[in-house]
Amino acid sequence: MTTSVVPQPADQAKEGAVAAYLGMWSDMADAAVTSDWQSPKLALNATADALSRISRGLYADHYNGLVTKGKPINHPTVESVEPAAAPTTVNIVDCGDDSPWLKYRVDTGQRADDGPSGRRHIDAKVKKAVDGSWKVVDFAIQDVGTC
Amino acid sequence: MLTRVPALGGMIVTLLLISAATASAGGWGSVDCAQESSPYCELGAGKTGKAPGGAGRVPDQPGRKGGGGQVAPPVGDRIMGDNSPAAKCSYVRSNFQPPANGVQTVAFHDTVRAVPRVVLAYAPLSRASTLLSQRRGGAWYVYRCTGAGFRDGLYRAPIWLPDGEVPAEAAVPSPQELAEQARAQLHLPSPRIEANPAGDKLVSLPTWLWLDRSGWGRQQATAAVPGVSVTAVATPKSVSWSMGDGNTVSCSGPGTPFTARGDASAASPDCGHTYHRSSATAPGQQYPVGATIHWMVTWSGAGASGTFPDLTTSATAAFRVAEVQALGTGHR
Repeated sequence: MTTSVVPQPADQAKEGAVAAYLGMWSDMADAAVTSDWQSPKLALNATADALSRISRGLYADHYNGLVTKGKPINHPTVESVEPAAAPTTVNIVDCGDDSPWLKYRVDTGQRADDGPSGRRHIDAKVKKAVDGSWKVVDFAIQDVGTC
Repeated sequence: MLTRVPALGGMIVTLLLISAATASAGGWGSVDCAQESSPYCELGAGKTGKAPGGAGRVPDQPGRKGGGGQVAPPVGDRIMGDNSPAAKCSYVRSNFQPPANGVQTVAFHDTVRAVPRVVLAYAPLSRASTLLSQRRGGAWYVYRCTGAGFRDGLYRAPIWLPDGEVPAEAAVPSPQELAEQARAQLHLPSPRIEANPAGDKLVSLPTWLWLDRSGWGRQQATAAVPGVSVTAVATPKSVSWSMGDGNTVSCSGPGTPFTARGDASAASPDCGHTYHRSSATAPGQQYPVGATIHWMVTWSGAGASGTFPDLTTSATAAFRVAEVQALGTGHR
């Protein structure tokens, strides 16, 4: 008797959505090295509110003479996939840690010591785009210490 | 002197180590829900049982936490109160444009070097829904602080405000308007013409041309209102000399002054003219000479910069040019 593994739509959706979610933070981390709020990379895995929020955040850093070095640590899990038969939305829950991803002042090279870093509860909504790719449309990052 | 250099380097390293021991801002600080709440932020907050908005970020304003969209965007807010030692902060118009599908639509040239002081204070900003209206007239406003404050914050994402909804406090002059004011305050020095030979110039003998150095140098002026400061800078770029005999000489600098030990028969290395006709037939037997300095005028501030049309300053003099043989001084 032989068995064949047929990829389930929900599994493919989870895989694509998690990749987009992790890609979004990776893209942001790359752009944040120079606070490049116009980086085309930002739109690879994020769109709508998520893209706007990231770009505006990087612009604020750019304007204030800050850059961010390092990478965040993520442990995303899929909370739900909707609808199961032909998924278009994947909700992701994460406990992210930005303590290895810190802001520095461009002028002095010193760390910006005016905010916290650490483990944060993150929700993210990932949707299927018309071209079949998955893109994060919104995210909510709670305070340090929320997970 | 040489031995002090490494000692200074050691001090800097020590300072860096001290600062590294304090709390450090993480990469999500500028995009988290405390920075800007949204309906989605509040949904997430419900799951974790935490109110959005950053517990403890503004201990003296607990009533404002978690307000979400109920509280109007405190544009130009003074959330810490006027009598607090916080810096004065307000939203100022900027040229920020969010990327659209990864297409870069504008270039941003920031010439502001100083890190502005910004108070970290939670205030619910306008909802994400306002993003949809950004095609209409309006602008992105960035949060800017002036003066000394007790604390740096730095995290305020730009917000979109339609033109009609900009509160009076945020309706500060645009950088361009301030730049006009700064330009009007520029005081450009008057040039003074110098030349060699000092007295009569001679036909076929190189005449050296230069300007008194006190009239040559960068000038700047600043115009400011609380929250915005714009500086206009005028830089001398070139000098046009009209020599009175129909010739024009263009020099890229003020010209090299002739020194007493110099060779009077040699031409100036960078700015000079040789007359081929005497001024005997000119009105008053003199050539009217004019020097016009062209100043490049740029401005920068409030996250923007630009260039004004050139300004000019000028000076005049009269040169008497004689034939060599008429003087009989033995030249040639």
